Amino acid sequence: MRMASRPSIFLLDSEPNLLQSMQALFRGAGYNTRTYQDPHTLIRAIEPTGITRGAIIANAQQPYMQTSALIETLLAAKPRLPIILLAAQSDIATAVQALKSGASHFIEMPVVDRILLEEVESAMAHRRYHA
Amino acid sequence: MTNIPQIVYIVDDDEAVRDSLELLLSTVGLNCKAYGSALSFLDDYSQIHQSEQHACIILDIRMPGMSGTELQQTLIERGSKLPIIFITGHGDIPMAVKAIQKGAMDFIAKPFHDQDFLDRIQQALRLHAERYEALRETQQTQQQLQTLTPRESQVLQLMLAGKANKVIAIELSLSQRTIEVHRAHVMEKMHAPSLALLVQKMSRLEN
Repeated sequence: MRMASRPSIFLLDSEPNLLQSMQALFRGAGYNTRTYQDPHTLIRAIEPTGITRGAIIANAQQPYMQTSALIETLLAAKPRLPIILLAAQSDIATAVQALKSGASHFIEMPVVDRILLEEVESAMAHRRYHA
Repeated sequence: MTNIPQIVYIVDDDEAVRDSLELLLSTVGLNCKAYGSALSFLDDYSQIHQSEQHACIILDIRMPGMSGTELQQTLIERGSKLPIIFITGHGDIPMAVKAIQKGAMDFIAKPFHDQDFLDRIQQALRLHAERYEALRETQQTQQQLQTLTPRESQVLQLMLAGKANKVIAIELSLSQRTIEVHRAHVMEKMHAPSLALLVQKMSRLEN
C-alpha cells in the first residue's frame, strides 16, 4: 500500500500517555496518525489539508473546548471524516448530545483494541457512503 | 400546516409510567394515545401511518415480548417517518448510541426533568411536521411530472440543464416558438412561478 492511500487518523486527547498508546495502536494497524493535545491546534491543522479518507478520534472529556462546538467545527471543515468520541466516565445524556451534534460514534473506555479498530473502520466506510 | 392534529404515541409496558406520561402531556394540552406493548402499537400502525397528523413515539426500550429496539427496527423496515424518543430506566451508553445511530431522535434516561422532556417532544413533533410536509411536496411534484407529455418532459430536462430556448429548439429540431409554448405548459403544469423555483422543486425530488 502506498503511503498516500493510507487513511489518516487524527487523535485528540489532553493526556500525552493516552495519545501515545492510541498512536501506537493505529500505526500498528497501518494508518497514518497525527496527535493533538489541544482541539484548536487540531482544527488549525486539519482545515487546510485535502484529506478525505480517515477519521478523527477525540476524547469526549477535554478541557479546552465544548464537545458539541468541536464536533460542529470539525464537520464543517471535513464533512467526510467521521468523528469518534471516547469517554472514560460518561453518561447517556452526554453520548446522545454528541451524536446529535454529528459525531458518528461514542465509545466507552476502556475498549478492547480490536473492537476500537473495527468501530473506526466501520465508521469510515459508513461515512464515505453517506457523506 | 397548523390545522393538522398532533398526537403523541406512548409505548410502555409499565402502566404507572403510561399514566404519568399521559398526565404530563395532558397538562400542556398534548393529545396522546398509550399502548402497553409494541405489538398492540403495530396492530394500529397501518391506520396511524395513513392518518393526517403530526406525531411522535415515546418508546420504552425494554419491554417483554417485542422490545423498543425491535419495534424501532420494524418501523424502519416499514419506512416510518415517525420520530422516536426512547425512554429508559436502566439503559446504558452503547444502547443509546445504537438507537441514535439507527435514527432515533432522542434517548432519555429516567428520571428526567419534565420541562426538558416536553421540549424534546415539541421538537419531535416539529421534525415530523417538516418530514411530512417535505414528503407531501415531493409527492405533489411527482404527480405534476406525470401530467407532462413526453415532449414537455424533454423540454423540462433541457431547461433544468440551464439551456436557453434557442438552444433547446436547435437540439430538438423544433422552432423557437414551439419551445416557448412547451415551456409555458411545463411551468403551468409544474405550478412553478419561476425557473429558479422549478429547479428547487426538482432538486428536492433527488434528496
